[in-house]
Amino acid sequence: MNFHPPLAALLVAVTCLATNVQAQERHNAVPMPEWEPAQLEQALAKATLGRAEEGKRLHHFLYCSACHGDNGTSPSRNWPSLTGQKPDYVMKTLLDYKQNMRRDHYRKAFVMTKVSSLLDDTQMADLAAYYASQPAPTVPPQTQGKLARKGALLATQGDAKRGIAACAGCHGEQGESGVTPDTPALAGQTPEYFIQAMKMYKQGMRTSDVGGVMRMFARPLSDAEITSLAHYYAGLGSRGSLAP
Amino acid sequence: MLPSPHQHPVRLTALLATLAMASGAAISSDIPIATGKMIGDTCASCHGTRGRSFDEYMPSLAGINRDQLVQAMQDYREDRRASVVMNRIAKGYNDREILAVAEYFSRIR
Amino acid sequence: MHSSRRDFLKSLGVAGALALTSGPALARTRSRTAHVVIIGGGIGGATAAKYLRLAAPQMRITLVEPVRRFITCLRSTDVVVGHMDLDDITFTYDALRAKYGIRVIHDRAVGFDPQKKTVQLLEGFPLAYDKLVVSPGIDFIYGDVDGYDQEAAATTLPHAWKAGPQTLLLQKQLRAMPQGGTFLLVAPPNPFRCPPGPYERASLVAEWMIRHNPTGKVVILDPKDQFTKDVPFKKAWERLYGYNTPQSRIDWISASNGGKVLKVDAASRTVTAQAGTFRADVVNYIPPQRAGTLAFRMGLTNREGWCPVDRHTFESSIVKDVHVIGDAAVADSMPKSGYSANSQAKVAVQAIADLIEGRTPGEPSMINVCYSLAGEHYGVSIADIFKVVDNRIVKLPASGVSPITESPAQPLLEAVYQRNWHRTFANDCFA
Ligand SMILES: Cc1cc2nc3c(=O)[nH]c(=O)nc-3n(C[C@H](O)[C@H](O)[C@H](O)COP(=O)(O)OP(=O)(O)OC[C@H]3O[C@@H](n4cnc5c(N)ncnc54)[C@H](O)[C@@H]3O)c2cc1C
Ligand code: HEC
Ligand code: HEC
Ligand code: HEC
Repeated sequence: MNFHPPLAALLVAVTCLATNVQAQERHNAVPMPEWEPAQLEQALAKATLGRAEEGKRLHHFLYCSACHGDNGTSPSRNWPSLTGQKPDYVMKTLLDYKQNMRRDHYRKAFVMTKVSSLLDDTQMADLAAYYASQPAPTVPPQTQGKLARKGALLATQGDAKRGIAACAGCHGEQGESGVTPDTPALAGQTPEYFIQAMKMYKQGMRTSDVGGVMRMFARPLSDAEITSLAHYYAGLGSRGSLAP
Repeated sequence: MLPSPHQHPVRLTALLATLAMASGAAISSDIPIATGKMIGDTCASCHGTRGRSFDEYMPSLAGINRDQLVQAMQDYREDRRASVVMNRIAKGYNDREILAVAEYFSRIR
Repeated sequence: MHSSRRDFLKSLGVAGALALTSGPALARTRSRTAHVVIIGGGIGGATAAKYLRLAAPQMRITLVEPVRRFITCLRSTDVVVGHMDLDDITFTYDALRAKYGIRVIHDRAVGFDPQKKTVQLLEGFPLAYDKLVVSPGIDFIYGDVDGYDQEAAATTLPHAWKAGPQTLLLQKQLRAMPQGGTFLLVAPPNPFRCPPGPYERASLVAEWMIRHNPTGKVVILDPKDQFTKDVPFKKAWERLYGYNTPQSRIDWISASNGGKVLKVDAASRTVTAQAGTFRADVVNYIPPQRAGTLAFRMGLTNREGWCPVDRHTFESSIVKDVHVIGDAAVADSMPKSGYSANSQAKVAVQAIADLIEGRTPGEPSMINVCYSLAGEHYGVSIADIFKVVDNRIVKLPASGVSPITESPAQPLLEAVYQRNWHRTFANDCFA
């Protein structure tokens, strides 16, 4: 996997913050698995070799469809959409769950920790290929326009004073997925899920971000800012879906 | 020995009456139905009191869009939407009941 | 019915003769001033207290329950096999008090006067009520089988069918079992609390043995030929425990195969059934059941030992202004489960709120879902919707049992949802 140069530079800055998070975690006395970049690269070697047809079959056979919707676009606010993601990100996140890096244990993520235990690497790649083959999600029904406008500024400009890079720099101009194949698309993502994900980074419960990037960006954000970002990105769904 | 609740034969008349109530199609509007709150409160054991299971993986229903809930229940009932348990539950409700329970949950903040 | 049992029921006094009370003109009582007393702070009673408050912010509501920390039966078999602690299934009345303004009295109801509409407590002053809700759960019928009595249950052959000391006794006995030993489970006749419970317990004990006692075995002696969810249960047993093979860890001996128990020798843990004599290392004897003793004291029971009610309101058909819910009530096709008790409480609450305001009670609607674990990661469920037709509770014909599929995700998700359900359900009752 290739790191984008700015990202690599950022990683240096991140290290001290990440250790803070780690200190908190140690306090919780829970072991915290994290990716080594090289190890991740190896794990994702098969990510682009998946067969979308087989992924489609698995999506239904393994009841992924019962939560994530008929084709991976979430039917409601209660689950994330998977469509429009690049295969690397989906495969990586399934490995994350299996390896317990998204440890929202007794709540939402627990179900994925269990479900992912059923999957081997080939199946993960197949599922990833299927979601990538489907059109990205359009605007979820409960997006709030006013909140979205507030989020736009932060997403496109960042906040230098607080060390927050523009989200768009990594997640794409329109949130259509990012600079590296394992940077997720955010356009059209369920706002409730987006908020949950950011809170988990903020609390150090989600340690799947290599080098702690997202934990670093999420930490200074207020709950109100997170909510506005969530609605901004949800609102990009319609445009994101036009992108190939 | 006492009869088993599971072996007890349900009387035919009752069964037919309920069948008519259950099927989405032929519902006479003068058969009484429970209120949306009555129905909704019995969903609460899974979906949380007043549908507020926000932290759980059983989805929350509080404040859900009314038409979205109606659509979901009808899709479950007709097996158009994949599910682990809801398709079995949705088969117990007719369209009027679904609308009533949708009104109830959609009004909860 | 066994003669000893009939005598027993008679000795408790069935009060068909109790005069119906006229009571004050209810239409004039308003929820603001009405006093509702709830006896029994288990699943049914706690739910009734909370939902009454949600329905009537101003009502005076009193809950009478002897214990301060209520141990639910739900998931108590997980405690037996060590997946959970007793603390995980123990709930207090703090939220009912603080959040819902319920007056909770830790005392025992010992009788009542249906004319004066008062309840007598063991220690406190009598309580006057406008409406009374009774959710006393079950008690056991001993003396049906020679050699098995309350003493034997408490010391050597636990039923662990009310969570508490016997749950821990059974856990201790299981752990102390010699390698290659036999765990004998005697299932009760219908109707009884938690119809899938005995089979869930047999499953989880069999699974425990894979890890801790690989040559051990579970034998179920059953006075029935069928049990709830038996199709998915047996499928799970095939998949997980070699059921229907010579190496099966579970043996289910049905009524037709001689599963009915004739006598018991507690000291040697020997159980004689029609099929023969079984010497076991642990005997989990689950006796036949009846409504909680309080219901008999109050004269709320019928000849079979359960409380008949008006199905629209759960008002006792024997005594006016008294609503009986939960395991103790006669509820036709509804199984005796926590979920049913919770649903019935909500129907009774609707009826009480309507009656107090002088309205015709609204139409009931109920659900029961029983989640069981056939293994730690293998759930099976039954989900049914109930309506009242001609004063009978009728299960709607749609099929309620988990389908059998080839997908490994299906039973896994049922098991995951079961844990979720346990939390949301307990919160719905107690928090
Ligand atoms: C092993 C096992 C597993 C189970 N698992 C499940 C499950 O997964 N799902 C499910 O839905 N159900 C389950 N159940 C069934 C469930 O526990 C019962 O159906 C439920 O508790 C019934 O509620 P209730 O209110 O009728 O009685 P209870 O919950 O038993 O409450 C009765 C209460 O009345 C009180 N009381 C009794 N006498 C008096 C008196 N004189 N004065 C004051 N208070 C009094 C008692 O102290 C008690 O607190 C299980 C049962 C068992 C045994
Ligand atoms: C019971 C509901 C449920 C089922 C079934 C389910 N998921 Fe999920 N899934 C979720 C939830 C809830 C989340 C979000 C969890 C969190 O907050 O971390 C999620 C998250 C994910 C994510 C991460 C999304 C992101 O943007 O990071 C992926 C990928 C995923 N699921 C794939 C699958 C696949 C593949 C299956 C089938 C094998 C599946 N899911 C089955 C509920 C489910
Ligand atoms: C340096 C690049 C970078 C920047 C800048 C960045 N992100 Fe991320 N973001 C990532 C990567 C990489 C991931 C995947 C991490 C993982 O796998 O957990 C991610 C994950 C996320 C996720 C989780 C998505 C999902 O589907 O689970 C959200 C939400 C998110 N970012 C929001 C933001 C927001 C909002 C900002 C701006 C405040 C931002 N990101 C800035 C790189 C970045
Ligand atoms: C046994 C637990 C249970 C009960 C009872 C239950 N549900 Fe559900 N419900 C679920 C589960 C689990 C899901 C997720 C879909 C699935 O796999 O079945 C769900 C999904 C839903 C959804 C889709 C939500 C969304 O975000 O798209 C709706 C709507 C719904 N239920 C409505 C109801 C209503 C109305 C009732 C009462 C009449 C009810 N449910 C009773 C467990 C339950």
